[in-house]
Amino acid sequence: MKIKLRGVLLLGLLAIGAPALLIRRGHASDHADTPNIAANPGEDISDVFIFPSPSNPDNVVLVMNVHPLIGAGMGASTYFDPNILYQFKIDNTGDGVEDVVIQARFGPAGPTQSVAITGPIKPSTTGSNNVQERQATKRGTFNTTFSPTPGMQVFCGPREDPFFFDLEQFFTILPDRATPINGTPVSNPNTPQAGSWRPSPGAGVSNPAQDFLSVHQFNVLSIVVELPKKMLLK
Amino acid sequence: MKNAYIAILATLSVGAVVGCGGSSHASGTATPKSGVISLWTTTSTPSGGSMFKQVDRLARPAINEVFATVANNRHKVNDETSPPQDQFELKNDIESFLVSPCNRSPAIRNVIESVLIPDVIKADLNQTDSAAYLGVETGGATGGKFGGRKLSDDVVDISLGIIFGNTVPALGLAPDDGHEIPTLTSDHVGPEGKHFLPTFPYLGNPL
Repeated sequence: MKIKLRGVLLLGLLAIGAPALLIRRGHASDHADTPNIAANPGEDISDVFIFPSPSNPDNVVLVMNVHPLIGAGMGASTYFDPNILYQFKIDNTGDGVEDVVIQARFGPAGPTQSVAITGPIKPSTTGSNNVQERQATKRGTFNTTFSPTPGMQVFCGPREDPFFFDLEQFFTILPDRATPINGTPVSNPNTPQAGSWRPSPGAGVSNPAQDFLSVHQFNVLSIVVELPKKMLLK
Repeated sequence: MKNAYIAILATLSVGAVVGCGGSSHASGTATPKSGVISLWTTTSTPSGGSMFKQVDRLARPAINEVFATVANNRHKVNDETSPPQDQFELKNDIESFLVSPCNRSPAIRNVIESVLIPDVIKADLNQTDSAAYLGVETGGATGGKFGGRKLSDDVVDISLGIIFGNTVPALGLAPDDGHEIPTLTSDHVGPEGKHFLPTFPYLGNPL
């Protein structure tokens, strides 16, 4: 979870009690450690998952979530960033260098935003500078499951944010991690300012722990890919 | 959840645990083809011509976010580099945090760094059991040898147990240093509030 961006938006929320429409204004004026990411939530990766397909033992599921903190009811009107190259990178030889990539790119924002999937394919470049590979891509549409190649399913669209975490107490313990929000550097960034997490909810418990993302019904944009395991192996 | 997790770890024999990915070696037989992969994700912006430059990277959640300070641009450095650079960058962030405030022993620090560097999610696609965060790195002690990460894995509590708790000593990977901070080993939040689906695309419908 990318606490930096969530923090930006969280503070915006808490400070002004703003409805979701005002969130963007709140974070656009912050002093994030990475201004590009703060100004462009479409490039902010919030979660990664990989698990076996529950329905097909030959398949594996990959999930990449971006654009955290989409307010309730706003998922279907928040889109992927057409400027961004989104990538899953897989090393299947153990050297830390990607051998296979799956790339996603998106057309102009809108309810019928196009989705272009390339791969899995051996990339022509590795590391932090890449190109969109030239393999023929198969196009689909935002918020609609499609099959780029036989045996492969892709969904790109809004989902409930699956992450669970007591974000508010984390920022209380380590205020440095919230400085993108308030712009106030912390002189001792690794020194905890609180000695414990909040207690589990229960009778007579004041100020209990809570999952900020569920309580406030936040969504993300997900790229979900299910494909045969063999497509990722040597 | 964390207590159950620790109990499982404590029952594990030291020999079953490895710091890094790779299939276990079956003695006397040909080594089967490894199914272990490492996964990470990136976003990149146009940087001239047909090139894209990486602006964000994520694999294991809450690692860069917890260990690396916002101060001194440590988040940004790790966002823009690749796994081979983690031994020169993210590793120092982890070491610094484990020294202060955690005051963990050199042996425990070494184990944690060997598990978390490079920052990738390891999965053994040859395994048919459940996904379980850090399962490859711990020989299945976290609930499944497939490893990877499933939607309901409590990655925060698992991470907190490693950083502030007795997870590493309980695995028999390093002596107990007596520097656990029990009040910091669980955030007391679980996946109960989520609405995961049994079928594709698995994540809950938008709220």
